[in-house]
Amino acid sequence: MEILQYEFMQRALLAGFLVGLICPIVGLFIALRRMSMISDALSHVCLSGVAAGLMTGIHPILSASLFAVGGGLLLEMLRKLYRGYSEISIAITLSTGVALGAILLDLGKGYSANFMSYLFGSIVAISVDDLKIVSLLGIAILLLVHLLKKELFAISFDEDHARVSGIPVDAINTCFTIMTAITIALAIRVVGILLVSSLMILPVATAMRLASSFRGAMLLSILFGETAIFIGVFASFYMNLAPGGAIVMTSVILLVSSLVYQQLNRKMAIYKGIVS
Amino acid sequence: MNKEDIIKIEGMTFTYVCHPILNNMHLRVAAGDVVAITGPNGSGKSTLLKLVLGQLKPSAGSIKVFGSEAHKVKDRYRIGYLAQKATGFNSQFPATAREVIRSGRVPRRGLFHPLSKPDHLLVDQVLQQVGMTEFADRPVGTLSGGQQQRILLARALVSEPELLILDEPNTGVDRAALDSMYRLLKELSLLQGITMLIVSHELAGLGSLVSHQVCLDKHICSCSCHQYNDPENQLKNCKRRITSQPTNTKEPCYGNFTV
Repeated sequence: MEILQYEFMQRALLAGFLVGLICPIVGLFIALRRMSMISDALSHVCLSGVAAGLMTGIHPILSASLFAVGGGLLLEMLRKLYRGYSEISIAITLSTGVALGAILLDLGKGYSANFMSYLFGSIVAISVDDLKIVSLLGIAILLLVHLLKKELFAISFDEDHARVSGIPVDAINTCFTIMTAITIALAIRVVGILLVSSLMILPVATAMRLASSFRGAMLLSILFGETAIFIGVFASFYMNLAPGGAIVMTSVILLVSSLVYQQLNRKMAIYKGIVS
Repeated sequence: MNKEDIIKIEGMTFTYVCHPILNNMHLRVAAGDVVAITGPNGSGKSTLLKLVLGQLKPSAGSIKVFGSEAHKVKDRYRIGYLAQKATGFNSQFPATAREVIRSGRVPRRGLFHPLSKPDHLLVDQVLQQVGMTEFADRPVGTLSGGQQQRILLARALVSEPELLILDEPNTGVDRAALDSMYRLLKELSLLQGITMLIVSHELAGLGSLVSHQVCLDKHICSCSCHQYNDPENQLKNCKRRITSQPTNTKEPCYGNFTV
């Protein structure tokens, strides 16, 4: 296959595979805990992280990870401060991230061309260093999610009950926020700061229409995430489309298809009921 | 023979922003007791429950559960908790009844330890106990209110609790489902000797299950260790006592103490 002959495409597909695995897994817990906007807020914090990285010479994915973790912990603190009005904490974190990013970008003029590849993603421009960081941190996140899966499920289903029954909810929430922040920072190289939340939420939104169990929702989320990544990358290679946009548009098409399938299924069931 | 105290409340007062919610309260619940806590709205029932669960700390006095201060109890899985249905989960949550029950076993296993085969067998056993085996793989959101209540009870039971706390178990559940749940609780009380604390504003149906009834209105207004046959009348008496004679019960409410 022509696409696999190029080293940059091999790196793109490998990084895409990892990101397509961790984004829907972390995204499922985010969506079930009704915190979908947290990924938007943290991806905007990554903006200032990338700008700081480009200015200081630190690898932008690492600096974005650090900024996102800081933003995530700030968000957790604000959520406790504005208990019951958590969207306020999201607005504060998001605007702080964008404002800081704007200042840093203005200070470091000349980096804007490189910066654009982080804004909209550039999976085909993934370097060996990028791939090493994505692989290392991605596998660490997968391992942590695997170890905390049962606690994360219990907290997502009923946080109050989890707390009462002795699960260390605060510690796990902090750990999960850090995992979310790093996942977002890793995904910005693939789909970009502006589209990263779609990669986390759209496959989950599609899976939730079809799954009847948590295990099913998890497997379908991964399937839809990976499908979007691979179709998106292939489409961008053969049709010369922007990879980030192609990946997210594939996710949107999968979501719309699942909604149509569900509607048709419902109508068929009603029709069968009338006929019998 | 003295039975072990599961809950011991001594001279406990809880105030919220200078407003006394519970005042100088004494109560002992021994192993195997089934105690119903009743009282009108705002009487402090939910606050008492939060104090027992360690979510709040008393302003004065002490509240001990399993011999430790309630907010410092380490093995919390020893306490099973069934919350009010109204404050429960999102019915769109993609999880089967079995997955929900399994989550009740998580605290007993501890961090980083996956559930093992005996845990899964216990889940099956509890499913059978609550009569929900055939619904085990159904999405929990598609079950009726009574069935969901049973699943949540099973989640509480699967941690093999020594103390079971039920907060308004009658909310949003029809009479038949409630009677069936009370029969199950009676069975658990008799066969496994689980201590129970049931907070409810309605006593109907609880009669044969409860060994002690505590009537609350910021302090204990009345306490009965009798098995009563006329719960409706008992509640009326309780309400009358609250409105006409708000006394401060300083004696520990236990044993043969009857107002």
